[in-house]
Amino acid sequence: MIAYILKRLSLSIPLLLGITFITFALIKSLPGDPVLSLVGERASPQAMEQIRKEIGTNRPFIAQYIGYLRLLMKGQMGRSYFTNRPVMSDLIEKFPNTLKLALGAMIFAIPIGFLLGLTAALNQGRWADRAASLISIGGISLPVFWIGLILMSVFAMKFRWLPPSGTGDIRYLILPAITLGLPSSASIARVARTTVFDILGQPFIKAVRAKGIRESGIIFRHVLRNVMIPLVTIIGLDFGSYLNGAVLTETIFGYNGIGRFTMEGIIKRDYPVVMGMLLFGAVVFIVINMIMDIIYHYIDPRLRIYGHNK
Amino acid sequence: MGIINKLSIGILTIVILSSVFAPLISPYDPLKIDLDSIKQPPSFKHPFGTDNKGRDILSRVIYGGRVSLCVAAVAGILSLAIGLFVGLLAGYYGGRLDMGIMAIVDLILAFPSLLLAIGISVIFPPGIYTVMIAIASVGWASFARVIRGYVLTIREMSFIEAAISIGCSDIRIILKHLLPQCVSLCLVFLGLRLGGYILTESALSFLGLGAQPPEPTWGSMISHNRVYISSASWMVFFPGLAIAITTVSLNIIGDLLRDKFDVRLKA
Repeated sequence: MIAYILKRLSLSIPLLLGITFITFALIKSLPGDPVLSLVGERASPQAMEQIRKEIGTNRPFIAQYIGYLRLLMKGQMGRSYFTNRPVMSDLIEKFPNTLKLALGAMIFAIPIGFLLGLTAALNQGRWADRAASLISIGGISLPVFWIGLILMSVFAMKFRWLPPSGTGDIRYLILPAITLGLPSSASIARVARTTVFDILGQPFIKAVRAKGIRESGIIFRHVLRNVMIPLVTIIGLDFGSYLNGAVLTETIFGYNGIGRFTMEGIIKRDYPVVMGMLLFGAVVFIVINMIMDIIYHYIDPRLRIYGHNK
Repeated sequence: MGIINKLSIGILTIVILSSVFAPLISPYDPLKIDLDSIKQPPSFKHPFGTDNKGRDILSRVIYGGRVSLCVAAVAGILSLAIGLFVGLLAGYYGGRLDMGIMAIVDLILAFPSLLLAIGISVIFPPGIYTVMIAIASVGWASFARVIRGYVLTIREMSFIEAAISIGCSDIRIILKHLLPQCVSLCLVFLGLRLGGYILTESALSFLGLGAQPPEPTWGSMISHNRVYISSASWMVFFPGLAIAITTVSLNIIGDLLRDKFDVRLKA
């Protein structure tokens, strides 16, 4: 298992290099001279040349890129232009909050999506199915930021049950987690519906039925087990979409996580922050994909990951 | 699902027509500031109410639809064109070209799409063209993937073999034999994607990266009006409702098209 993880990690190095190169090239191609913004308009050309030499922007592109990689290897991502705090320390401070939010969203999305999909599949073609698929289309189609604002105005401002915004104990987590989890509960419902329906049509279910097993036994012992794999896939993919959603959700609810951090970086054109967050997003994605492969290994013995390739 | 399908087709038609004929049907000038009638709740005079500068929200929603639909359509066609070109090449030639292209496609698909679009829209000055480019530069990848997969299956069919054996050139095979086979797949997939593009457009506008004020867009209206949500909730509710009914109808119609043409979409 450890050998497998190491192999996967080494395979992701070219991917990460590619992403660092793209983000670096993007930032370098932006208009504007950082030296000019550091010293101001009235500095003498000699002074500007001096500073260029000191911070190294007079070096060739590749040399600057290698310098950036060196910095990353040391576990640093540069400093924010505005707060002058290292991007890394902001990341370490804010990422646990986003992780909490994502977990909260999953706790909301998985049971609801799964029950919705299961109900739809067991009542194929009947009104319950239609209602469930309409709800799931709605969940995919509705804008996250709008739903968030409506939830906030109803539950926080009208009824005053929950705090409207901020970061803190679990009460601050409920509304953002529901907002973030809603689209993914819809996609889980869709996948659950089609897979449950496919499995119910397979011969082994007929065999189990012929043996006289109760319907609930069929669902719990045979169907649910087989639904796990596509469900894990979709949940893993959704975890990535939480990073999308977190940008919007955290902005609306004033939640102190990396989504809002990224967003503020973009609005202020704080490039070290934007670069660091894009790179961090890629790292999170690679790690999630790897965790998913490891989970597959445990829930489906047919998919042995070590021993042979795929 | 008959009624729901008809309803979504009807809603989408209304949204498209009202965007096309916006100058004719909108009751007020969407940019006209009227300080005598600020933050008025919905009434006969202003069906969707007015905003903090007294502008009519219905008119702004109608004009905002122009931006959203236009951006989604252009981004969709761009994604389709690039994805079709790349997918045909990768699927037909296979080998190293295919591997290289699919590596890039997988890289793009692996990344959170909104973050990527945000990253791209930072480079260019904010505006609708930037949003189109940002959506298309992420969107082409899923088209390329679906089309490449489809081309891989039809390339093995006997009519392609026949075309090769009578000496057709590669270009002729791609344009005259493979391309026509992909048309219904492309249209269905475009239908399934458009709703998502509208959502991305409104999210980018919400974040301030889309069309700039005073031009109204659904996303930017929600973003600017959200401070008034507790005192004047209609200012946020109606633009969001416009996004919601448009994307829901588009997604329902997309599903309908998929079932009708019975294309297998394995993205």
